[in-house]
Amino acid sequence: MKFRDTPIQRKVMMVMLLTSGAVLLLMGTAFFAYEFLTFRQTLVRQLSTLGEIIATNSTAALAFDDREGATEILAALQAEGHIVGVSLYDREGQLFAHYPVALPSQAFPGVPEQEGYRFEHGHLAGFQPVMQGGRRLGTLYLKSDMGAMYERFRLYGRIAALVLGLSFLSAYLLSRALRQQIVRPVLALAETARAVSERRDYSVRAEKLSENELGQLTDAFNHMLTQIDAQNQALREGAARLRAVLNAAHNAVMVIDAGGTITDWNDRAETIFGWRRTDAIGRELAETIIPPHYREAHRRGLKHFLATGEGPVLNQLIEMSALRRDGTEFPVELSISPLKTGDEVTFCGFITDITERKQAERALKRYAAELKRSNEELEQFAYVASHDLQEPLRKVINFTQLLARRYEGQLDEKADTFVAYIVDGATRMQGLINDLLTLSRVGTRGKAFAPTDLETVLNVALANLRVALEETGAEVTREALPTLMADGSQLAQLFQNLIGNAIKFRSDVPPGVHVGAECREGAWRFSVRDNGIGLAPEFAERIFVLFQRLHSQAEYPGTGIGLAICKKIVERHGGRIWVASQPGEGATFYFTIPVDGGPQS
Amino acid sequence: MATVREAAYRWSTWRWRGVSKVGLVLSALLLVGALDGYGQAAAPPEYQVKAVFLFNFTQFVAWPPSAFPDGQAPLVLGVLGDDPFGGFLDEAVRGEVVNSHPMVVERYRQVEDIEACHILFISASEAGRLERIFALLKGRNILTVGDSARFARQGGMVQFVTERNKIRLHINVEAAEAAALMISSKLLRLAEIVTPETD
Repeated sequence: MKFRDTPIQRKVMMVMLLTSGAVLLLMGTAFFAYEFLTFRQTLVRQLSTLGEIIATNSTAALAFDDREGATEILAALQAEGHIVGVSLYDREGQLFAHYPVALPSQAFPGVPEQEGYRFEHGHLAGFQPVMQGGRRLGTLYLKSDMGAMYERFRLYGRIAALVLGLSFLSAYLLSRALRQQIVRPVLALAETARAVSERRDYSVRAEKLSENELGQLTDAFNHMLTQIDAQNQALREGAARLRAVLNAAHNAVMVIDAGGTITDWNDRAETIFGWRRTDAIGRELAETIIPPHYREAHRRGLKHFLATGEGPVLNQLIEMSALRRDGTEFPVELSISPLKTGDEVTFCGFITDITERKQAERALKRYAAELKRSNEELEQFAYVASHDLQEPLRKVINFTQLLARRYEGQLDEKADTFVAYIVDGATRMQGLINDLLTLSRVGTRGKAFAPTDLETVLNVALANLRVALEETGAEVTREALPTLMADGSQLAQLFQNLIGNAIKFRSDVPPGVHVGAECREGAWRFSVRDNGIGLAPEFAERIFVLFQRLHSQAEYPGTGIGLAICKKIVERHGGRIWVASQPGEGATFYFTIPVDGGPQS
Repeated sequence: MATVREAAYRWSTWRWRGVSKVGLVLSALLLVGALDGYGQAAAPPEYQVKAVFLFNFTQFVAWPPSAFPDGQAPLVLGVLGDDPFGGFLDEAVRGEVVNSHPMVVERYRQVEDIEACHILFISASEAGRLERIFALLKGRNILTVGDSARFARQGGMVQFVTERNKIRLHINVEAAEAAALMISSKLLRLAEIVTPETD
């Protein structure tokens, strides 16, 4: 069991025992260290004293060259159990005598070394001089083992062990008596805490047994219980409100944890998927609403996000299909948002059933395709029809003109008038067919857009109109024109039609036409302004409709197709055309062309 | 304390005395040989050792204060009779000062010549006159040393005895005490104590 998890009763006791043990150990160590140091000094002193006595006693033996006598003196040291060797050197440094005699002389230093005692290799050894009456007679060598020190330390060790044991015993007894004082209120508090957490009854209060820190702890604990109670109430209310909001949502809302398990499920989700909230929670989302062919991708994506934090499908609307409880698959639009609360990641999913929308979209697409096809067929029909009509019509005109020329004056006057009517009608019909052909060509025979200089385009249009301009004495002014992505020949047609109209619907004064251009909000706006008869605002829309004319053929000849062609050209370039005018005040035609060229239809 | 220890040493020496006889003899021979190196050819090597011993007595014998007229008075080492030392003795004491007493060597032909003297070596040439010499020196603080046979028993204080090439000391303690000389117990322990003959 870890010390952390040890019951507090034992912990208090262990702390006391460890503390007293540590103190005793520390003191013991200090004592030993002190003893070790002082006892070494004592040993040196004792050994040098002993050496002094031996040296004093061996002077005569050295002086009178009595090795036997010297050996006897040295042998006296056998009473000192710790002396392992002693030797005597004469004035010349020759080994004079040694003890134990049984040891070979090689066992002793060959010559005296520096005086003084040293600890080496577990022994204390050293040299000291042998003096008599102030004269040096030789040198004494003494070597002692450390047995004395070890003996003393063994004794100290036994005493220390005994003291340690007794201290532990008394600490143990003391702590048994004292721990009740500390531990009992703590245990009472712990008991209350357990009761609270087991029964989840936050109305219980702990009994206060003292006025010290433990009493304060009890007060704090009780205060905490009160707060928890209040917070729980607030949490319950908040959760209920949140649930009501979720259930009121039009979307299915669900929450899954990092493992992909459903943890929340609103009312709408019940309706859409057919899973009761109680059944859905705890199930894996993949197994519940994700069709089998998406499941692996879902699990992989989840893992990938948890590992890297990357989720390409997160936080955006995506369309996919989902599974109902009855196994049917249906289209949904969903967004998944990761929610980070603390270290935990959960995901919130919002799902809309888009079955109806999908159906409507499909119907719309079908209708649009149908419309496009019939439109194309119609244009093709108009083109083919008008193109094929030209040939027989040309024949009618040619032969009628031939008839009029050859037989003029041979028929009666009436017949000449009839022929003239036929030629006139046929010529008008040819104009009509040409205009219709032009109109249908805008959609079917248009060229691909290319960079087009509108100055050139305008020049082409003015060249085509040269005769009419000269006849009427019209004056055309212009602003600088840009280069755009466009179909040049169609824009020339556009300018030609608009300027042609300006000349045709002139007033009594010579016509003045101004062509302007300005760029605003990503589109060029062009204007063609005249000083002609103008028109009432209520006709501003009608004039762009095919065959709609404001004047009789007799007043202003025309087919009623020109502005329809203009409208079609501008629309093909992605722009818009309109007119601003008052009767008698001239008219200004505006059209726009997007800078980027617009759609190529 | 010291006496207890000495007693202990004395007691213990008995057990070791016989053990190292051979070693002692060998080292004595070596020592004699070594001294021979710087000795003079005129005297036998043993007198070289005896000369040093004579000087060494100054370290282990205490004279009464009355033996010196003053603190700087010389300590006299005398030789009575034929000098067997050659130059060894002069060599041994040259420049030596013992307790502020400079040492000097003096030689006497006859006992009457002796004035201030502290250590007297009585040569073997005087062996026949020992009784008279001791009688004349009685009461004077002179350490008498000799190497003639039975020198100590006849009343001499220290006798050099050569045993198996080793010079040993025989000491007549009574004679020394009679001359008020204190011989160190350390010296006594090495020596054989003899008592004078009682005729």
